[in-house]
Amino acid sequence: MKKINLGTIVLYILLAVGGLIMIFPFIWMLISSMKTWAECGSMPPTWWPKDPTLENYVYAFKTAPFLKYFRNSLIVTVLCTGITMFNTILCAFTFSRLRFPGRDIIFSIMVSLMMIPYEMLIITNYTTIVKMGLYDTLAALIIPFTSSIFYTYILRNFFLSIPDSLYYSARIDGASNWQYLWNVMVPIAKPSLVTIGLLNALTCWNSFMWSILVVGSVNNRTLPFGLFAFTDQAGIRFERLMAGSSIVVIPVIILFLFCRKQIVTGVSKGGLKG
Amino acid sequence: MAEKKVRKYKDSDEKITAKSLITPFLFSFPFMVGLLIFTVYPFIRAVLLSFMEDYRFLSGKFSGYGLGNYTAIFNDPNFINALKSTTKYVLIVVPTSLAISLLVAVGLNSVKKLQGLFQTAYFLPMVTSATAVGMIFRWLYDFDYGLFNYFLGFFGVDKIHWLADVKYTMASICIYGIWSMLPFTIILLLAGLQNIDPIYYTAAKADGAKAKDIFFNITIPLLAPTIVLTSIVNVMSAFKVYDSLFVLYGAKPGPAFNLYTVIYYLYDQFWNKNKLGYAAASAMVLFAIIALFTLLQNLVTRKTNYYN
Amino acid sequence: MKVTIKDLTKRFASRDKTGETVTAVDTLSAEFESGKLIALLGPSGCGKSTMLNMLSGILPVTSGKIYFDDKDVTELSPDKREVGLVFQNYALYPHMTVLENICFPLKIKKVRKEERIAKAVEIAKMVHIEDYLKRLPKELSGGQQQRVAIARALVKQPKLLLLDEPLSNLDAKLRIEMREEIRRIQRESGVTTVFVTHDQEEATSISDYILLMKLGVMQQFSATRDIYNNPANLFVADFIGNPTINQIHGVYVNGGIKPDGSDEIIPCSIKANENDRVVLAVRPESVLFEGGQTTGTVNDMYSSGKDWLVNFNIGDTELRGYCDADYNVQEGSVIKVGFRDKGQFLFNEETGERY
Repeated sequence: MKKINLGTIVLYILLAVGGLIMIFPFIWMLISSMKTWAECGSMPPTWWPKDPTLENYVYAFKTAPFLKYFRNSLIVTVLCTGITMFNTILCAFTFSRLRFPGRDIIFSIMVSLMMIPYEMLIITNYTTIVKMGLYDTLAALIIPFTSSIFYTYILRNFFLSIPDSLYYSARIDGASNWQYLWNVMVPIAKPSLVTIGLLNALTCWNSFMWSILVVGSVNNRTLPFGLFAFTDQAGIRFERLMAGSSIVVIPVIILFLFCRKQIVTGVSKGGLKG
Repeated sequence: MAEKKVRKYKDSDEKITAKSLITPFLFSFPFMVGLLIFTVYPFIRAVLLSFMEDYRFLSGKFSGYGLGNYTAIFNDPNFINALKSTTKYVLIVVPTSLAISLLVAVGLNSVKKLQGLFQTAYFLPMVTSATAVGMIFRWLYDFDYGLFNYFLGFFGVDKIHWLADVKYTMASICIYGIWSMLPFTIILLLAGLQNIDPIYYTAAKADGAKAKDIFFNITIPLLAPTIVLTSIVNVMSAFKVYDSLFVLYGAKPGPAFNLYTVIYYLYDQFWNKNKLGYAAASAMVLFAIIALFTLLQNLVTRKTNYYN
Repeated sequence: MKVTIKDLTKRFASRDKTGETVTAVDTLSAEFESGKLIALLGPSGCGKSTMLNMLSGILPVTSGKIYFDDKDVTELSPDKREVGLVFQNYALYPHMTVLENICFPLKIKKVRKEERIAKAVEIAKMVHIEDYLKRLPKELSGGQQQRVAIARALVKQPKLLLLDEPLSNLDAKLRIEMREEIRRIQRESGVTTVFVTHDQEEATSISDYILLMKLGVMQQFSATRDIYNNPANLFVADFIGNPTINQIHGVYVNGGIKPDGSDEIIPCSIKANENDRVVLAVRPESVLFEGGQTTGTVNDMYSSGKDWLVNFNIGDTELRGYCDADYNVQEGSVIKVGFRDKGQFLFNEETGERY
């Protein structure tokens, strides 16, 4: 029998307490969202709703078009991620496999562009979107974000690690650059692509400030914007606001439970290079 | 027979033909269009805007180039205030979250069971919407029914106006800031710890080192590059704090403008006041800060040769 | 298919910034007969892989021409050359099964699915991997991966099969097995094959012709038997053969060689100019331990199975020769040796040229 170390037990307890503190806001969000107004405003607070109710959710979906927000968020996330991935794959391929004069110089310029804070760009991007006639459309939430240098950088590094001999082999087998990319490189890079796709999808889903600038009508709001606007509709009724927050957060929690490993790898791989 | 003159690459005999140039052009075209329109162009324009004097938003006219916008914002107490409070925020949040993260990461690295469960708990805040999280913290900070005040009650402390009292606003955003910075920091430190070859620990144990000695003499020095780089990245992200403050304070810059951060100032000048020149100038200041830290990051990376 | 190479040259810019160029292949001309197995042989850095890559089209040439039959393919891109190439590391697509790997060239050619599977299976049978079609490359041994790579190269019925150091990643036993397999497969398919190797034994054991290179310059191109029996220069004589050929440095005097550090003159039927510095090269099996006139001292001897390998000195020069197991000598014995005419060559010491 292995002796159970007292220190180990203490460590587990400390980690558990810490973990609980970290997710507590979300637990509290879910609990509060199922309380009645009266219970939510009672002191001392109850740790579990006496009479769990989904009424706040019903209210949220009725008062504000959360279903529509949800749909918009989904469209924006899926399209933006799809287009971004497509662009990223092609661009990473260009800068890792193809040859043309000035390739390395252009790429290092691109890398240095990464340090431009996004907020610096909104001043002009707002005008550009308006001029393109895309103000108050879902496209305005997608188009400016489809060229990510950061993801290209990560993917290019991965592409560079694929041996040249595979490329030459494929070329001799008769494959064009395009066929090689989609038949060989992309399948091999699948884990990296999944990671990048997940990170991108999360960013899209949570994106907020830009949508406030370029979306005017209720119909084109995404979830975070919708939730923010919900404050006006729900007033300071936290049980309702928590129901609204849950609608935004729960899909992400589910995604995270399933894809934690890929997301964490992506963050740890890309974190220090960005 | 006249030999046709063909351009070749210097280091190989590959010919530079129109066809060999058109492939990379077509492949990177969709990306480059987006990059030029939504990154390169607005960047150049922001730089120019920051030097344009008396820029009129509607007519697009300006009186000339100069440093007017910069002198204006540096004489604007609100901007100075924004710089100060952002710096203060960075100085509190980054070291604190780093210290906590270090403890958690070392803890996580040494447990074998329940890794998945712990990781889920510690990392979840990283992926959730800042808007929703801002909303939740607003609820936790609530004066009458918020949990923070309820817990303070246990210690006999009077209720605090977390979000409304000028004295406590910095504390409230820092608590939030630390909490939200932890997951990312823990992930990076944990990855750094997992990269340390266990042979060092074995060797140290063989030399009779105790857990404390190992931590300070082996773990910390070997983790040092990761710690430095993580801090730099965190400083940059902390400088850009905005989204959740926006939600936390209901789109207001806090009581008495004391939550004006650099980005807040930028948005405010751009969106509410239509002072594009000021917005661009403050963006340039932010850019300078970020560029400085990026440079530092590259320097550290090169010096420690972290990735090899 | 016949392959003709004319004045083929490849220069690389050197890695440092001096701007100097390195000539990897220097005005090389040769003609590879159809259906034969040709070995490109030479020490590392001799330009043999560069040659192969130019044949496949991966590397553009600096100058010179390559013809497949009568067609000039010098400027043709790899996908249009109808060659098959097997890399040293096999370059199997890691995400595809064996069958998918073999099918890939046909898939690119848009061959119908049933047809390409039928063809792939047929080839797989020829290289004896039909039992592993569903596996991924990483689940195969080195030898099996090698077979898959060959199958993939052959499935599109190339006119020329190129193998780049195909055996160097295998262990010794498998290497011998696989080289015989390559020989068999080449015979069965009848495809003109060029393979690169730095191992002279590998080259001599399976190829029809050997093209031996040194620092980008062709030293000799001839039938495998000839290159051993009739080396063009000292480098060729030295490179081919195991154990390596004996070399006696000395001066040509009175129709014989006076080795350095000895006063005796070794008689030699090959003519050279009086007082030339020469190298007498003798294959170990051409050393005679009976009926000779030159004095030697035995250093040591090893059993090499059926006979002994004797290590002895003539003057300052150390030589090796084979003798019968019952030949009675021991370390320190003074012996009389002679050299058979066959397997005996005379070279100019300075130029390496053969007399």
